[in-house]
Parts: sequence; structure tokens; C-alpha cells
Amino acid sequence: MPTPSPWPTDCWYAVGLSSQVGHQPLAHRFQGREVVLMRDGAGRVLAFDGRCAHRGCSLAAGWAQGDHLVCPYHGWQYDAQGTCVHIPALRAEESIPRQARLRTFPTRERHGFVWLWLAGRQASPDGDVLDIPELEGLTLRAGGDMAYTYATHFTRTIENGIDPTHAAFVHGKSIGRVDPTTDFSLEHYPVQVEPGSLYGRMPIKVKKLNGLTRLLLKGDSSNAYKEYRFLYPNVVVSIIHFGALTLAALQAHVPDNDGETTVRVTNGRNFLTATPLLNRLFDRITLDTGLQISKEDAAVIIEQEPKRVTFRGSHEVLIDSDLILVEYRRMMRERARV
Amino acid sequence: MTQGLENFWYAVEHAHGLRDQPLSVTLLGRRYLLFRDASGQAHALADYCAHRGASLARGWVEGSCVRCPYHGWSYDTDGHCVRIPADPPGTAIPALARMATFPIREQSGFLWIFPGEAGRASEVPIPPFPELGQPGWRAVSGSYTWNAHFSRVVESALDTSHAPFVHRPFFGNREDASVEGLEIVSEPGLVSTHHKLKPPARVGLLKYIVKRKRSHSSSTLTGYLPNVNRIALDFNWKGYQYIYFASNIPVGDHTTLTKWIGVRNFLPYGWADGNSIRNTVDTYEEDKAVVETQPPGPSWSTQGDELLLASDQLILAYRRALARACPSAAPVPAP
Repeated sequence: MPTPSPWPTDCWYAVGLSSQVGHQPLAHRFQGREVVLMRDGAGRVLAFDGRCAHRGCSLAAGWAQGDHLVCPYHGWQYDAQGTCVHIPALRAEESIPRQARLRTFPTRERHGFVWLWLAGRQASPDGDVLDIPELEGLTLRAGGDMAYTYATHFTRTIENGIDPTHAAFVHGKSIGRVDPTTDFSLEHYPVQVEPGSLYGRMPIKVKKLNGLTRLLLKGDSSNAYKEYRFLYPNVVVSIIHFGALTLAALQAHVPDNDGETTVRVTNGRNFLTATPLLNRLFDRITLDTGLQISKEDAAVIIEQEPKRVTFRGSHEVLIDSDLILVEYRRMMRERARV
Repeated sequence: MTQGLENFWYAVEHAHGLRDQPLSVTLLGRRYLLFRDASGQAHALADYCAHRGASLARGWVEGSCVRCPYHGWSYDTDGHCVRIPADPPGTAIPALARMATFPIREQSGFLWIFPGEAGRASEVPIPPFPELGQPGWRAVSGSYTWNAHFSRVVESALDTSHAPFVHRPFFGNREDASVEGLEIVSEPGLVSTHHKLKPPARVGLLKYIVKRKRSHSSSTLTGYLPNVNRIALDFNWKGYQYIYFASNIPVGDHTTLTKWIGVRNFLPYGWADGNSIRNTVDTYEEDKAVVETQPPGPSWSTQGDELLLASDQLILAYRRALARACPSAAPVPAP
């Protein structure tokens, strides 16, 4: 019997940013391998395993010819089903071997991401990418799309993404430093556990903002709160509300391998979505802030040990304000059986 | 990771290397946090926050407590968590919210921690460095890393026959490289030998202070179990000596971090420090080039494939002493 995959299967992984995927192939590391994403003539996204069936070379430097993916080494061509349909070196009397195929993945495009179905027991999807009700009324904008690679396991980056209490300590520079005498305590908040999803809403503790963000967000900040939604297995949506203003960061925590995770981020908001110049300026601010926050998180979380969260028998001491992490760990135990 | 080496004191940092900011060191594959409380007293904790396993090295010291950079948990010098900022006031702190503590001493110019059974710490000696801080002696210090097991590094400084080959600038005479019979001193916790050398070339400042015609110079090589080297070079001229004292820290099985102090009783002036440091670092680079090519892992694990001669007696004595002190680490049969 093969060793069970250490990765959750039978679920939709957000892997790439829609804005980055075009008609030429784009390779992303994924769970110790590579996947190649490209759009066919109709604009649909195709996802292939990233190693040629011929001699195992990477297809990352390959190219598209019509709706076919071409290997850069010997020019083998694969169709949308991953079947090799052309081998330039083939002699007239030879036929294409049946094993000349690439694994392909069912794909979807939603919420600014390209998703692929990782089959375990279910070869084809038994459901669709989940809705994110909190995005209602927001406009998704690709202008601040970014990616950041952390030298740790994706379970650690996800937990950091839904962690409601670290901002005051880790993000003093990018969000706003708080007086050390401030009360950082977080009152109990409920967590909704839904099939394949978690949702929590908490008051915001960091209310002082720096720089342009402060100018643009000086609306009614007395009603400030944040929402976190986790979509099993690898998406975190983090939404902050300052009065009438709402900002969402959608994060795909893509496991490159056991020790590295690339988090790809796209954003949504309900303001400055159409004003010329200012909308671009705010995209830029979103991007710069996102990168700064990522660096601050990385400095701390890449040192967490063990690198991969222990879901059973951990000695870590979680407290009441970690409730959403407790529920995340429960979901990983029950659904992913890890 | 090489097992069975926990019950020793390890010098993991220069005493002057730990100031206001907490410091994380890795020893035998585990992280330790060093910090000084408000009174300057040093403390050592297992550097894994009880909450989520973060390192406190980027945290900060507040009074006699050290705080985690991730969520601000505060630990006292006994490793007990005393404050959790995210908990509402009055919430009890979980009993499991603590970091393990380790004995720590400040001695011989270093901070020493004892990663093993704390109850045994007091019976294990810390290698002495009596010249350090004495009038007339001037100290320099530094650190360097090796992609090698610490036992290979220790043995390179117990080696009585490599100098003419590895350290040519000082000991150039390859035609006359035989080593006289060695008298090995083996006491609990150390092995040592004194041997005469052809006088080294008068390189750098030695040119000006040491007479050309000397019959010999000498060196006393000492290995303190498990990982400290002391090399006392006697130039046989006016009592001038340079003493190298090094902790070769086993970071992991393939990485050794050496923290060293060198003292000299000649030219005890700041302007001559650079010369001492340069000579020490040059010697390291010459050794490193060879040591890193030796088989990975503990030196004793390949003993059957090696050919050790009479001139290697001190190395053999070191392996035997280590095998006696911690049989599970060094399974070399004692003779």
C-alpha cells in the first residue's frame, strides 16, 4: 500500500493568481513538484504536472502551441487532457506510446485565483470552490497582487494568517505601533465552523495607522473590526473594517514543499475602486504594505519549531483567543487526517 | 544528531557577546535562549515559546523577564510564563506555559550552559583559563564555522604532525617533519601533551620580538572533553606565549561553530591585536580546507578505516577518553 500523502487531498487548492496566468505556461512549485498553468484559446485554465513524460525535464520553460503544451527539451506536445499528441523525433513506423501522458488537474477560476482539484479518493471534484459571502459588495483588484515565499510549512503560514493577536507585536512598523501600556486582551469571539470553512470576527486592537493609509482611512474608525475566513485546505481571507471602509486580503497559501510556502495575495475593497489615479495609488499602497507585513511575519514564523504544525499530541499551549486556531487544527485532524 | 553528549558544560557564547538583547544559540540540534536580567545575571531557557514554538531571539528583555516577539508572552528567569497579553485580566496562566531552564555559568571568558541532567552539572568541571584577565596578558577573540563534525575540529588541534603541511607559512620544513615520542597526559576530562617544535618562521610581528637562533619552541596541546581545545605556544624566548582557547560548539552533526579567545604576554597593546587575530584566522582557514574534506560524522565512526600512528597518540587518547566519559556517544573500545 502506498504511503498516504502528507497533503490534504480531495479538495480545491488555490494555487495561482488569475492575473498571472496567460496563454504561455506558468510553472508554480506545488507539494514538492511543479504544476504548469496556461490558458487555452477559450480562456480556460489548464493545469499539468510539470515534468515531461519523456525524460523528466521541467516544463516550466516550455511554451504553448495552440492549446498544446510543448516540452522545451525534445518538443513533445501535450493536449488539454495531458495526452502526448506529437513527438517530433518519432519515425514514420513508430506510434506515440500510451504512457506518454502528463497528469492533469481539474481547474476553476474564482475569487482572483486559479484552483486545482487534488484527487485522492475522488478522481473528479465532488463539489465546487466555496463562496466567500464576506466579499459581497467588494471589488477585487489585481493591482496589488503579490507573492511572498516563507521558509516554513504551510500549516504555520495559515495559522499566522488567522492569528488574531500577533499584529500589535509583529506589525508595529507597517500597521501602527501601540503604546506598551495598551490593553491587548481580546474578548471571547465565536468561531463558525462550516463544511470546509471557518469564520471568526474580532475587534481590532491596532487602531493607530501610519502614513497614507491613515489619511485615506480616517473615516469613522471607532467601529473597527476584522473578519477571518479559512477555506480548507489553503486559503485565508482577512478583512478589516474601519467604519464604512472595508479592505480584504485573499491569501492562497501554496505549499511549495515541506519546508517552503509561497503565499499569493489578491485584494478587494469597497472604496477607491474607480477613481482614476487614486485607485492605482491605493493599489500601490496595498502592495507595499503587504510586502512589509510579509517580511515582519517571516522574521518570526520561520523560526517556529516544529516547522509543520503538530495536529495530534502537540505540547503547544493554546489559549482562548486562539480559538480559531484550535478549530483549524480540529478541521485538519478530521478532514485531512493529519 | 550525535547522542550521549548532553552531560557537559558547553561554552556557547563569549561572555561579552551577550548584552541587552536576548540571543539564540543552537547546540546539538536544540535552540537555547540566553538573556541577561536587569542585574546583568545571565539565564538560559529552551528557545521554544510554549505557545507556538517561536524563538525569543527577536524578543526583548523587560526587567527580569524576556518577552516573545510573536504574541508578547513574558517569561521570568525560572521559565514560567507570567503574562499573556491576549488574555483578559484575571485569566489564570496555564501551568504548561513555561520554557525549560538550564544551568548557566560565566567563566573563563565564556557563557557555559549544561544541556543534560541539571543535577549533575555541579560535579562536571568547566575548563580553566587561568591566564585570561591576568596582568600582562592581552586577549583577542573571534568565531568561525566549519562544515564538519566537532570531533574533527577538536582533533585538528590535537594533531602533532600536520603543521609542516597544513601551516606552511609558520612551519615550513616538510623534510624534517618526524615527531618525537609523545608523553600523553590523560586525566578525567582532559588529554594533553607537550611537544617540541622546530622554531616557527618569524612571521608578522614575531620578526621583531623573537630571536632568529633558537633550538626549538614548544607547544602544549590540551583537549577538554568534549569540545574545548587549548593550544599554548611557547616561543622559547623571554617566556613569550600565545594561548588559544576554543569552544568548538556542536551545532549539528555537520556544523561546528568555534568561539575562541587568544591571549598573549608579548606586545600587550591594542595595535598588535590585529596581528594575533590574523594569524589565528589564517591558521583556521588552513585547517578548514583539510578538515572539511574528512568523512562526515563523528571521527570515531570511521576509526576502523583510518591508520593512526604513534604521532596520532593524542587523538587516540581523546577518543578513548570520550568513549569512557560517554560510552553511548563514542563506541570505541577502551584498551
